[in-house]
Amino acid sequence: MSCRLFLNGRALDTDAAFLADLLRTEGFDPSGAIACAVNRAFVPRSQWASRPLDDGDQIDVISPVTGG
Amino acid sequence: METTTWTVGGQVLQSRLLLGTARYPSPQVLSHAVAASGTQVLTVGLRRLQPAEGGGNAFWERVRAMNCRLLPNTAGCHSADEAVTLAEMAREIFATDWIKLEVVGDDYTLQPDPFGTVDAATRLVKSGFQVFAYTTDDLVVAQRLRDAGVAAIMPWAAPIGTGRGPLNPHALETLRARLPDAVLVVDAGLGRPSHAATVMEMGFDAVLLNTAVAEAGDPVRMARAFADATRAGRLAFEATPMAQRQAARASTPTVGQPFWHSS
Repeated sequence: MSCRLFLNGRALDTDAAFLADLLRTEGFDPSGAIACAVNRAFVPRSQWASRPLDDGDQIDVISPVTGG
Repeated sequence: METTTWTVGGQVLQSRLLLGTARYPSPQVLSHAVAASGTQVLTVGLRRLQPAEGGGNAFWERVRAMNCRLLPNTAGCHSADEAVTLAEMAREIFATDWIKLEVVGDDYTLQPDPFGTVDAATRLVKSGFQVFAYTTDDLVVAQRLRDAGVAAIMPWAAPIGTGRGPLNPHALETLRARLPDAVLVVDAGLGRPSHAATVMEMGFDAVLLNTAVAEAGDPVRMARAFADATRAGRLAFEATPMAQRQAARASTPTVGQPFWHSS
């Protein structure tokens, strides 16, 4: 079942049912230095495989950058 | 001669200079500037990752190789909720409870939102974070942050990236006098090493800067200059500067002054 969600602000149609599936299909390295939030709420790495995705979900995937 | 050590967030540190990692001409210059500064704490940011762009792993590997404590920030957050979520994400990535809390209140001046900052600080401390709270030089806000239990209160000297130095020295002196037991770090607005020396002479525990080093003509030399100035200012504070006087007083003894005679 496909759903439309927003990944880092961009609309995306996906068959991914869980957050871990989405990260894998979109090319993220799940063992890399990344962290995730769904609908502005932090989702710990331990819950990526069990966090279901729904239409309209907003997913943020972040990683380290330079900063002051 | 070295300055005394200081303790923040459960960590004993020798260097009193915290350094940002942004805006350097190249990653190599960043590495050399960090080494020249002698810093033990680096600030880092977090942004959305696009896998097609190669991700942030190159920066992550480079910054980890610098063997410094990392202080992730919540730069760009406009609410306490955003800052708390980003702090939680930072804690997982960096495996640290340290967080530089920034909640923007005004996009033009980048002035921190005192209400959102205190709200987020209170929640983060309860969640086990060591909060380094970026704030203005407002005394009452600083007192609220102290009451919330933050690890460090970090007033600005001037707006971020302006390099104007301490615009309100009296307010900074008042913070130090009224919060003698708090860890106080001047963050933002320092442009020259003399600015760092000035606030360190006031008794601030440390300074945090980025643009002043990164955008200098020679960031590596400037990093060293700030390290020396920070150390000099702290040594001066520990040495207790002389009292100021209104009138001149000769340094050289007057007894035995040649050519002098009473008329």
